[in-house]
Amino acid sequence: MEAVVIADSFNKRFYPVTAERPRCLFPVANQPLISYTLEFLSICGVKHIYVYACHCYDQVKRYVQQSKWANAGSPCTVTVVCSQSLTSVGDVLREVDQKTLFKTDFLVVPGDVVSNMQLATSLKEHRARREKDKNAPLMTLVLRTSSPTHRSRTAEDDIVLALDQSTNRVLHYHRFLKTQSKVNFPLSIFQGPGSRVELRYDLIDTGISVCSPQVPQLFTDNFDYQTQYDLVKGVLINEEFLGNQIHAHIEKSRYCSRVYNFHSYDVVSHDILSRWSHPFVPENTIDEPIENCKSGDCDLLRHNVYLHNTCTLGQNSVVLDCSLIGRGTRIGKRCKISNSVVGNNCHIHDDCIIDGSYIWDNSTIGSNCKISKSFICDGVQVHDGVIVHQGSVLCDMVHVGPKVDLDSGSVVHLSTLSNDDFDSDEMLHFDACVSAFLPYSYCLPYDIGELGDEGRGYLWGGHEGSESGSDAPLVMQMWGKWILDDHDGSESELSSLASGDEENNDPIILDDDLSTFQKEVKESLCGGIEENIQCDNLVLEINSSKYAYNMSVKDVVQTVTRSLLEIATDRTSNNAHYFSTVKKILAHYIPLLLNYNKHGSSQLDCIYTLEEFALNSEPTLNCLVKVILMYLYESDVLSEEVILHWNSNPRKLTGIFSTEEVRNKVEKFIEWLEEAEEEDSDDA
Amino acid sequence: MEQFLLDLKQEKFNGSYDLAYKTINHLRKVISQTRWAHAQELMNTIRKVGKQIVAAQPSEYVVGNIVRRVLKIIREEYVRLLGESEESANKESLHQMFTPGDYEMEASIHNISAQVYYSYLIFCDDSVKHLVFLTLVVTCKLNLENLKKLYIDLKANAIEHIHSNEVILTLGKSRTVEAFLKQAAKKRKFHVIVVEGAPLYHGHELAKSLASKGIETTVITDTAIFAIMSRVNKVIIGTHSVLANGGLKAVNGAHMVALAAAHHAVPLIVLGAMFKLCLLHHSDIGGSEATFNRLASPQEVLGYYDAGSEEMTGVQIYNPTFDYVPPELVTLFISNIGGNAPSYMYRLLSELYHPDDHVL
Repeated sequence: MEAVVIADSFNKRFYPVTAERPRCLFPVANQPLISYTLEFLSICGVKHIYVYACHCYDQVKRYVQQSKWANAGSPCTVTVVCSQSLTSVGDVLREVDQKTLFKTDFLVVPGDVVSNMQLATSLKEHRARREKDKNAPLMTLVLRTSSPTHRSRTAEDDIVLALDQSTNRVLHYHRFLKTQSKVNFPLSIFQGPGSRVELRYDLIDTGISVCSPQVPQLFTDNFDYQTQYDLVKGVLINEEFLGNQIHAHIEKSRYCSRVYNFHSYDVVSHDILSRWSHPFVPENTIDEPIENCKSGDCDLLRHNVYLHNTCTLGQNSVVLDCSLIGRGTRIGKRCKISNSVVGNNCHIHDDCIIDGSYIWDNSTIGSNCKISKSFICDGVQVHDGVIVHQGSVLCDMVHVGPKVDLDSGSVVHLSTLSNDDFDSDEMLHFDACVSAFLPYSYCLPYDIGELGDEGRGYLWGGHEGSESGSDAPLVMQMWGKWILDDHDGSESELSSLASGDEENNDPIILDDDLSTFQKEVKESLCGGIEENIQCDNLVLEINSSKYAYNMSVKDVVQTVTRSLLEIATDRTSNNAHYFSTVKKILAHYIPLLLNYNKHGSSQLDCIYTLEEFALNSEPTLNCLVKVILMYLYESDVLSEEVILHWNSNPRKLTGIFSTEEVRNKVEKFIEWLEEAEEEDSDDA
Repeated sequence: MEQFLLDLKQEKFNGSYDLAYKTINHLRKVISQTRWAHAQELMNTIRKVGKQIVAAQPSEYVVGNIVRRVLKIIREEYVRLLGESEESANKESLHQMFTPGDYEMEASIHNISAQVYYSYLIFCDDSVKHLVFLTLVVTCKLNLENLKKLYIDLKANAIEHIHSNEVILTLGKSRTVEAFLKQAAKKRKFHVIVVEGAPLYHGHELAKSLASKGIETTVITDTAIFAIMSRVNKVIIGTHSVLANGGLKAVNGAHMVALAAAHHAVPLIVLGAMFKLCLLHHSDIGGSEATFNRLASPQEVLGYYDAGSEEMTGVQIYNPTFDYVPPELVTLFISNIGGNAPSYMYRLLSELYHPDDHVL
């Protein structure tokens, strides 16, 4: 069995903490995040793991080379594949396809999974399905049950699945974006013979999937697929054509979570300390070579308190429930630490109160500090008397204090980041002024005002005053309380999201399609006249847009007719020339109109559109009879039955002029037509 | 070799018998694969390996026990091959057996054993060495076979301890107890009450297995132990290991059973092979929950699905696997060599392991 570990998130959820280190090397309960993933896979019997690293790949490579995985006796081979050109999961799988790494089924696992699942069962299910049917079952998604109000959930995990109850086949997969509250299921999934469909809202996508060798090929064929979600959606839509199927494996009892924002970091760390991830618990070191593993290094005391036996605790200091104190850490007198993880070689001075916080290695906390629910990275110095409020993040090597009060949600960093490092449109959103300021940040003095006299670092977005709304969503998103659509980039959409008019969402999207379709048709028709393109080619072009936007024939006929008249109106400044222009354009497009107006119903659509347009435009109304109807009749675009039917059945159309006026205008033409018909019948 | 360490770490073994078997196999490989010039060297190698494998899974004492046992066998073999009769080598007084440490000093007082001791430590005659090597491997093999025979020996005691129409209470599932009861059922008719043993409910499996052999079986909840104890004639349980003072490290709930049995004056019989007997005292290991107990994932107690809801955020959930049962609650310990009282454990220990090997 082989696996691909995607050791890059391709988003910037943890920025600026991830400026200098990849997410997969974050210490979680004092062990690198990726070590959990690798160990989990090796326990599941995976023999060869390909780690695809992108951001800070050299660190990932170095880590793997120094870890037990590089040893000769390691139960599985770990190959690190480095490439900075990869920008998405799709890219990774395209790369996999290029190298044709896998001839059999393989696993795709994100590099931030902490789990004690047994993948063997899902593998067995997948293989059994593949044996029954060689090609159809494409992949098996591994999902975990989790109550809709579970604390591990963030807005990102909001998914709804429709599953076939007997086969666990995924029929529909919907991921909620923003605060959407509606989901549409295609009716077809309920109509299958004898189908029993299960709609589930209590699942979390673990990001793990068992893939057939065809999956990388699919990614290559569809170069716009960015994530596995894109693939799932694509496969489900095209299921009838390609015959591919996606199945789900639902894990009910074992633990599996991902670390993809600060909130989930918090939850996963807490779960590890509460031993949900057993055997991956702090007293079992997993990343050290097996020869010098000493399981007894960490003492487990009551209430899930883990103390490394080289750490020292001062007089009257207490470590309360669910805490971990790392190697060589010194804690002063009268401190109170609860629900926190303190890394290796930290120094915490007297009278500190630390609650729900994560302190990485080599940091120093001065005396009388209060830190609650915050994130303190490597080598941070917090001087005496600092109060760090909930949701703050202090990045590597930052100095804060003495005696300052850090607001809730402040992010302090030292990185000299530029716009290139940080595409503001990708995941996080900034005021233009903030991003414009960023390139010069390194020549600016440290934010002594906010960070205290000894402060070294910049307050994220703090220069423009923390009132500027941009950092609120940033922090919220870091902690997973807020989610933004991957594709929208502007603040205006944000505000519309806040106002919450989701009811109108769908019609707007439909209208958008129609209007873009109309625009495209008009453009191609315009170009057709200017460059004198053959009508056949234009028909092809219009037809392809028709499929792209999923338009009906009626829409196409109406659009084409209206576009032609609009072009004519646009091109004539003087009403006198209007007749000739219209006639010229119509003459050019007769083959095209003939193509679309083969049937009576389309002809009817066409003529009613003509009327509608004429009602709003005087020149068109004036020349309606003389040129348009006459000409179209003569060139067999409109048959006389259609024109007569139209005349006797006026629809209620509104405009500047009334339908009666139109009827008056065409009266003579109709009479002539009727006479001609009578003559015809007489002749017969 | 790595594979064994890995299996140990990941707890990939099927009960303590399997673990003992694998450990002996592992040590046999070590003996046959390493080069050594004299006994001390071989013993050092085994000690080093032993330390490693004990560290990989410190809560499984069987590993350490087997390592110590093998060291003891090496010592015995040398003495035997040197032509000394076993009696002369075992001449040391009872007192001496329990004073490890400066063995040389002790030995110099007793002239004969000192001679023996020195000669077997600095032994380099090749032909003898070869012989020793052969016998060592053979002994280890014998040991393996002994291990296989072990259940048979243990089971043989069954009829002596279970009488007709008795009511036996047992807890959870122990392979030894299962074999013991089935053996007894061949000759006698009796009634077994199985305590289900939440949250793993291994008792259900045992009940099924016993019922399939035609034994009259009742399953009760853990909370009903005290209520039903007055009707019970004998309690028979298995154990994870037997500590040096005769106390038990046994499955969660064993203490409750033992206390209830003591209250109702019901004899408590513990079954376990000799390799479960270890040198540790409760005070050595009881300080930290991680070394004595094994706190498993709380999943079995309360699923992650429900434990994540808002109301449950302040709640801590524990799933300990073991209980300590003090020796005064244990009536009899039955092993493959017969029945012994817990107070006799110290003597068995001194026969099994050499005092110098107590600390690896």
